[in-house]
Amino acid sequence: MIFDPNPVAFWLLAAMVTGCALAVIRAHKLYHAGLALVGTLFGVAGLYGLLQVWFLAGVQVLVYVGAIVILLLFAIMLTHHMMTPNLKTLSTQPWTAAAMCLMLLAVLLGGILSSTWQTAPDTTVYPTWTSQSGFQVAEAIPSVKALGFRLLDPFTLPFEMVSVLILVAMIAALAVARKPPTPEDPAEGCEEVVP
Amino acid sequence: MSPIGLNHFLGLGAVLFCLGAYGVLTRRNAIAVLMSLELMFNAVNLNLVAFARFLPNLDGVVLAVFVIAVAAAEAAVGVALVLSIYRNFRHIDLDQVDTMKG
Repeated sequence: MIFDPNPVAFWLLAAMVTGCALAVIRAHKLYHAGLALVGTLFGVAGLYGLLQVWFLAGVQVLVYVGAIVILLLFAIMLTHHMMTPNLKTLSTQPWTAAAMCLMLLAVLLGGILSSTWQTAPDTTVYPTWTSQSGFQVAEAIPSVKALGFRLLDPFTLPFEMVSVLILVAMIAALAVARKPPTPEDPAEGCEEVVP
Repeated sequence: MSPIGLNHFLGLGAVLFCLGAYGVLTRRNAIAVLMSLELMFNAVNLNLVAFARFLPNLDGVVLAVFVIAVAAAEAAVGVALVLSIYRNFRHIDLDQVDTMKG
């Protein structure tokens, strides 16, 4: 059986993703750009759902919308007045950048259209859609199960390396964002007790 | 409507990547640049998942999970850097952060 996503859902989600992405890169108020980013990420999560990779759709919502966007919104609130129009957001050469991006897009689309991919018929790893019974939830479990086995069988070392990377990034973020101790502020970093 | 194939998802990923690249190139605010970077990460992830689904090969989904983890680490360090820049310069306009320019 060849996998066949719903075309209407795909085009709706594609319009949502590109529209919100345009708002992210052109919004004058930074806070609105952050909210549009939420729309883009939800659209991509919907596309994962359309591809029936439910686990990744959940991870997308949890990690991107739940953590990264909140972090960015906190950064906006810490550095900006939230609703100030930030009109000078674009650099001095937007047309050069637009031309370069259009050329990149042309190269990418040309490469995509001129390639033939060895797509194979669908396997039973993923849940299947049948018009009679709707989603077969019982078959969604092997997808996540297979993913877990895949993470622990050939990808054990990258999996552990990613956990070390996240720990290092956490410590680095603390070290960078922490206020450096100044010489005229002896309370910072001095722990000796005067009797 | 014509059926949706792998090329549709790859094309959408290419469009999303170019929009993110445009944002990274033209935005002057550091947080806006970070947001555009997230768009590019998402375009790459979309391509990986589409390949994993259509080829079909589960390794693409595993790689997408790794990319999401690395993106989370990148966002944490990036926001820390932005806050540090803001503390030193009182703004986060990247065109004016040129202390180390030769």
